[in-house]
Amino acid sequence: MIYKIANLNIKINTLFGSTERFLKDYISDSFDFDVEVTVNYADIKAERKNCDGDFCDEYLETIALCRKLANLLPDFNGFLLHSSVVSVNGTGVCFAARSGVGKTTHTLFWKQLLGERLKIVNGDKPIVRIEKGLPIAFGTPWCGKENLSVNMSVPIRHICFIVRDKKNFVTALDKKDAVNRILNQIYMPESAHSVVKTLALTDAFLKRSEIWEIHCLPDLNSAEVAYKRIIEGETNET
Amino acid sequence: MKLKYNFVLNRVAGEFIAVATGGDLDKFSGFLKMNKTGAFIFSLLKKEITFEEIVKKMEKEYSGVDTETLKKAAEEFLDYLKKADVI
Repeated sequence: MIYKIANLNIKINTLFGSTERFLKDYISDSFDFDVEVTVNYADIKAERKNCDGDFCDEYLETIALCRKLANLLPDFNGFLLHSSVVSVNGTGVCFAARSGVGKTTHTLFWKQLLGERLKIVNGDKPIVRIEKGLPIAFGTPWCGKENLSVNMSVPIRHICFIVRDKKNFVTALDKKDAVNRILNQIYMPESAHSVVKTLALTDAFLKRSEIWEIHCLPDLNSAEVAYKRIIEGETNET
Repeated sequence: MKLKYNFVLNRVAGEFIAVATGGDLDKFSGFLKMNKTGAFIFSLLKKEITFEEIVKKMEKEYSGVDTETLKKAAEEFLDYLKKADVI
């Protein structure tokens, strides 16, 4: 079956029907494909070694598929970004944080604040491709336990690192200070040439984005404060 | 001395970043940030090399800089790599 993910037609050969259902929103109408990915039992076995916990083969196939695709993405100017990405009236905002800090919680406060004006492109693992120098985020089927994803794309304008704090405020970050933090969120592929490419793509990603640190409590006011500074601040300047 | 793992280098936001590759990413999963001089020394460490040989190569590369300054820069950078446990 051919699927269209991140604007790439990908022939995906799966072992289980459950993986086909997992990918159902991404079926392509094309007969041609850019790349082919096949998952086999050895891949599932390798994922089982990597995972803590007792997961079924069907789940591990989706993880193995994600890894295989992520390893191919640099050849298509892309990478897998562990973050949540939203579209606010067509402007892409990426929320990144270490696991457990609360990026999903903060994302959902933005949704609560903005309603239909905001779409959650992906809540966990969007793909970013650099197209003519611009970072474009794409929804993917890998969207975390909350299942927040839409098969759509948005140009990313803002990268926000979420930090838990005792009050809500936002600071602008220097790009140099963001390098390690954004690299921690980007999947590093296995081959050396793909790592070199991923670093170059990360450079382009930072170059075209404004970087912020959102200090926040787990409350709706955190989204109001962040939205005003990041989105409305931008509107006021233009 | 020599790097313990296979790394690749590239520039991100004006900084040189080294990342371990292949199987070595499991052994060293962080990123090493360095300036241009650091990147020069780092590249030399892909092969076995002594401190004196590093300084000699730096003298050639940075011909206008006195040896003491180069030695100090090399010592500081090698210290950073030792602390990161990559040499």
